[in-house]
Amino acid sequence: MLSKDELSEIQEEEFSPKEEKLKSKIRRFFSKINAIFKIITAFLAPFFARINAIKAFIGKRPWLVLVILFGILVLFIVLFLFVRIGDEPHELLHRSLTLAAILLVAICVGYSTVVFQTVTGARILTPAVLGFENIYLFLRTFMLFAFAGSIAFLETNEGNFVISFVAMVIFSLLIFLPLLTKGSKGVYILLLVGIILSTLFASLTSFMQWLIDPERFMTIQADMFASFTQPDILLMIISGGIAALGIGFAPSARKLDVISLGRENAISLGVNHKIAGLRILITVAALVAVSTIVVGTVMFLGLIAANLAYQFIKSYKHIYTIPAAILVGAIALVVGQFFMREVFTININIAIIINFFGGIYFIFLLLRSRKKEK
Amino acid sequence: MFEIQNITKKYGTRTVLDDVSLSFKTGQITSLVGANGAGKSTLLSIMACFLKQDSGEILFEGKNIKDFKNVEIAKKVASLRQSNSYNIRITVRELVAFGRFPHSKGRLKKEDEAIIDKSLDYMMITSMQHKYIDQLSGGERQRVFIAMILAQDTDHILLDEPLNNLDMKQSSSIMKNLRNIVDETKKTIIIVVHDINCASCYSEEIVALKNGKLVLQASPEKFMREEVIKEIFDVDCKIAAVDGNKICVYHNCEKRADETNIVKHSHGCTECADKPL
Repeated sequence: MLSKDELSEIQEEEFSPKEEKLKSKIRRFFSKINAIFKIITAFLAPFFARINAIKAFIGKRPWLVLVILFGILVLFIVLFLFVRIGDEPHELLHRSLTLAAILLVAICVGYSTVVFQTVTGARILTPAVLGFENIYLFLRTFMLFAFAGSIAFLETNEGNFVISFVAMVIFSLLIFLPLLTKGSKGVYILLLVGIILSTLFASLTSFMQWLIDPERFMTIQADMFASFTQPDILLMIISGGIAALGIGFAPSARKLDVISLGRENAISLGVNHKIAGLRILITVAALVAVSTIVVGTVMFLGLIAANLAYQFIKSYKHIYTIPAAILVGAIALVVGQFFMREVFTININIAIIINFFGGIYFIFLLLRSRKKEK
Repeated sequence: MFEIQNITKKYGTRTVLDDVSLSFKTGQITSLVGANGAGKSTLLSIMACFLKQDSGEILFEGKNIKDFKNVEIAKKVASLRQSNSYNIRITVRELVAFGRFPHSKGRLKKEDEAIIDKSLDYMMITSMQHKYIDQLSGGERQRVFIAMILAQDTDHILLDEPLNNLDMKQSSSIMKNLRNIVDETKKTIIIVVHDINCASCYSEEIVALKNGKLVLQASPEKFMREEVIKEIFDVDCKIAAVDGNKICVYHNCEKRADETNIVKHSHGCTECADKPL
């Protein structure tokens, strides 16, 4: 829309009467639109006021947000399970298995992202952005590359998973513990280290895959791309156990609240920050390993889940933010999977959709944090 | 009671604290002063367990501070570092309530709430207790963090430049609050300050560091002398007494010193000779 100044400028430049008439017509048109707009906003004002009142009401009651999110999730779960279910006897079982995998991944991603962001004190960092998933895939490939053929246990999917999980915990502690616990290094340094590591391990992985026997490679290839279509029951049970173990390792929600005040304040309030950082890293490593083996890499899911959770829950308390992040992640996955099946019908990768929206959201968060700094 | 024994700390090749030993008296305000990079904040950070020393020991109540459990020490010493991030959405009261964490483990009882009320009242922020931290000014936010430290209800309080970026009114009122706390409850406050006059007016003892070494530990009366200030901060100044407080005037002082110099050399008068420049 042109502003008044711009319009008058144009008028001064060109003086033909025909155009003059047109310009005034345009001006009248715009003023009419403006009037209509004003009437509409005046009409809607009470509604907006009511929405704001509802917002304020909910803002003071974080549990209400959890209830609403849970309701939405249940609604979509019902849709997901029962819409256009055929006569095939195994269809419901198959869908429930997929659903179980989705929920497991949502728990892992939501939990690990929130606790990781608490210890780093940065809301644009997630384990995935820092390359945890790539490290995990590298370790899996490396296990196959180096030991397969000689140790039969590693040939099985489960065996490989357990061993690479242990390696993953050790590896991430070696790399990230010094960065997290020795005072504040700054978000951008961490981000930079993460991007470098993530690229490095991704390249190493593809290099080894190039050397590896193609048949063996098939066993890990499925991990690299998100897919809920063929969940393996035994694997799900093992990974569910590891996820539970990992969450058990994390500091309590109240301790996490204190840690979110920053390293120094946490120490002053009697929290052993080093041990807490260690425990959080073990949790994150376990949960990332589980989510990667169950679904593959979904880089931006954690980012969307955690940040939307913070926006909905106007509280710093982890007892609310962690469940909210899990619920948001679950809703995103169930909805995504549902639409993929019902609307697109072709079997495209869900990671593509989530990464597309997640990537845009990531850029939005970066821009907003820069604005805040100014 | 804090006792510092032969503390040395290096950042890379730079020695920030060089074999510093001293002991802090209880029940008073002690100010740590020194030029930028003298090591005062580093010393306080080591005492607060934010940093690890390369060698030497910190004794607290006669026991090595490392032998205390984190929670135990948090009930006895509260520390606040220079700048505090506040990127979480939290209200004033909720933040102050964190001070009770070492005692209550996050489950607030009635007596905890009472102490929180008292701390809010003490720092005069009761009226803004339901505001969010990011809506406050720098001075108000600093008061909130100090209220959190007060709610921790420890005998020892370590503050690293709590007056940073505060105007005259804010900083003097915070210092008066601290003074009242010590006078009424006999707590021990150790504070890093930049403003030497602030140290002089509000503390019982001043500890000066220069290039990582302890230079002087003395009462403000003994500390506030022109040659001492020159030695520690490398500035020329004049000391004046106003209402029993010794004030150091160091702005635009070199010029006057030069003028005195000229007078001294041209006349060689004895009046100037015993006045150190």
